[in-house]
Amino acid sequence: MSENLHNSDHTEDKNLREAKFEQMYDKAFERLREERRGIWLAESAFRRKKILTQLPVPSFGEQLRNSFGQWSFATGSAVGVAATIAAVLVLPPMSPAPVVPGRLEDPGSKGLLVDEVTRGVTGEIKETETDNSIRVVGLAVDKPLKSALSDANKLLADGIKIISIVHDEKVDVVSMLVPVTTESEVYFLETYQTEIGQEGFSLLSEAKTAKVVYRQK
Amino acid sequence: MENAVVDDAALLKTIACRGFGVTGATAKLYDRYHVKLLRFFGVAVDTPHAWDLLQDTFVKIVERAPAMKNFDNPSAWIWRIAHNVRNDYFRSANKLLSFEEVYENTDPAAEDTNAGFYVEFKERKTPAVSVMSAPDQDVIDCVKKALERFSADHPHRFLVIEWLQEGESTQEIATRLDRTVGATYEFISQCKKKLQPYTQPCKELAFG
Repeated sequence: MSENLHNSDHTEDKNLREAKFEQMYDKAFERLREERRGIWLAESAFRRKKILTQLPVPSFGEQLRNSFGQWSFATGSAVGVAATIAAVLVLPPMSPAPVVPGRLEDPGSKGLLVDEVTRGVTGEIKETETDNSIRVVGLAVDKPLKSALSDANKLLADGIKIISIVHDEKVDVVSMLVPVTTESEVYFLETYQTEIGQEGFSLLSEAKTAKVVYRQK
Repeated sequence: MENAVVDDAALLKTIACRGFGVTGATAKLYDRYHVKLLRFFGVAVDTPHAWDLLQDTFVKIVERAPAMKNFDNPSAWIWRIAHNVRNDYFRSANKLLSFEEVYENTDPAAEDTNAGFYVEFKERKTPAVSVMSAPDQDVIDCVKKALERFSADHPHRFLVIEWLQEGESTQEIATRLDRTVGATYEFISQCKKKLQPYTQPCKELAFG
């Protein structure tokens, strides 16, 4: 009986030691990894930009066509197909299109940063629309439209469909409508001409098109 | 608004569509994978070349994604591309090695030369306490140096140990090694055995 107890204590002690050593091992490993991470981080930002800007991505026009081809044909609607054909035929488009009425005016701020929702897009969600969408305003304030479109790309990469991107040239504000439901569909397209900068975003380098206005199905 | 984390398959599908999201999706995929891939390349080539191989990998991801019918196992697909990129590099330099040559090379008998290395820790040994005899810090330093030595002697095996430490499954490690799960299980076991002599003195230091 006492021998069993002794053996039990011995095993318990050994397990305790092993567990303690495991903790030390984990800490040592973590420190080593932290040190080595610095090797890659030293030139990380520069390399990241270089690699991402040299990718063989399609031109802006092709991206636009591909996006609408996928989305509108997926809806199966005649308007969607027409929009796709329009996107293919009309590019590069022409004169400024009117801002969609009611989209930019009098937003009621709720003070919610978009970062909290979309991770990385600056701007504010101003109000919830009646058609199950959220208005995002201010994406292009004090920065070029290309940045706003880059932000739009981030949203898309996050799997968030964009209902509308509206550029108000008078105040240089881009407004985006993003759906609150995953079932939202897009089917309407307008285009207009604007100037796109050349630095940084190779995907936009060939583009003279910026405005796309979508509506929910 | 739905705020689901977009998985790798969704990002690859976005890239495959070649629509608006291609750059954003690639950037997100890059942020998820670049350190893992750099470490993978970094055990075989120097740092500048590792970056070059990383760039080649992402170029191929963007080029090949549209041809993919599905992305049931996105991680496997990405690691396969990384393997091919690495093999292409070594093939072009006439240095392509088999798995056995890369991972199961004749290892230096590092364990035989450990004795002197651990003297500094043994000299710092302090009186025994209930669970550990040496202060935690000494043991941590000892293990860290042991890992550094192991990493220098067996870089590929260390990478596997590192993946294990990060909680990667045998299946995932098999994917990264481009081996079967069975072979990987055996290889992991060998790696652990190889590591043991390096950390054993630290254990003795800890427990007296």
